[in-house]
Amino acid sequence: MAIRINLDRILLDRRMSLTELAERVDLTLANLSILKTGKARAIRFTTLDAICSALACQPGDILEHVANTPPHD
Amino acid sequence: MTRFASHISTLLYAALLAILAFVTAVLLAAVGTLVVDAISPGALGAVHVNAQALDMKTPGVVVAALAVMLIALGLVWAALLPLIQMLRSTAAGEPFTTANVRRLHWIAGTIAVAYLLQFALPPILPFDAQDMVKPMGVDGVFAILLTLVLAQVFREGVRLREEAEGTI
Repeated sequence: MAIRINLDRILLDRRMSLTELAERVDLTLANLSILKTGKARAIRFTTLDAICSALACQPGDILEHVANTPPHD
Repeated sequence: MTRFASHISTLLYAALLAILAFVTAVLLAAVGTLVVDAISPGALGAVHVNAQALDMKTPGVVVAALAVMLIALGLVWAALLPLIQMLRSTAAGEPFTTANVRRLHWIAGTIAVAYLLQFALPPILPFDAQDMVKPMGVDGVFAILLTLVLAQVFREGVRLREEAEGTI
C-alpha cells in the first residue's frame, strides 16, 4: 500500500499503549491493530478525528504517502 | 435484519419448502402411478383412467413420460435448493457472498437448460408423450435475464461488503 500508517511511532512518542488508545477512541483492539499494521483498506474521517484528538496530532503525523509502492491487491 | 424482514424471510422459506415438497410429491405420485399402471394395468382403479386418457400404452411412451417427469423433478430441485440456501445465508446475515453469486448463476443455468429442453425434448419423444412438455414462452427468457442481473448485483454487493469490512 502506498499509504503508510505511522501509528506506532506516535504511540511511542506519547507513551501510550494500543489498548489505551483503543479505549479512548472507542474502537476494538482488533480493528486498531488492523489499522496499525497497514492492513486496513480505508479509514473513516470520524475514526481519524478520534485518533488525532486522543493523540493530539495531525492526520499527516499518522498517515504518510510512500511513492513507488505497488498497491494492495 | 429488522423484525419485518425476518418475518418475510420466514414466510418465503416456508413457501419455498412447501412448493418444493408439493412439486416433488405430485411428480413422484405421477411417476408411481405410471410405474404401477405399466406393471399391472387396472391396479389403481380410477387413477388408471388418467393414464389411459394420456394414451400411455406402449412401453416407449411410459419410459418417455417417466424421463420427462424425472427431468422436471431434477430441474425443480436444481432451481429451488440454491434459492433456499440463499435465503438461509441471508437470515444468517451473510447475503453478499461469492457462494450466492455462484448460486444465482446456477439457477440461471438451470432455467436456461429447462428453456432449451422445451425445444430439444419434443422432437425426440414419442408422439403421445410430446404434450407433456409445456412451453415456457418469453417468461423463461425474462427469468434468465432477471437472475443474471441479480447475480451481477450480488457480485457488486460482495465487493462493497469486502470494502466495508476493511474500513476502520
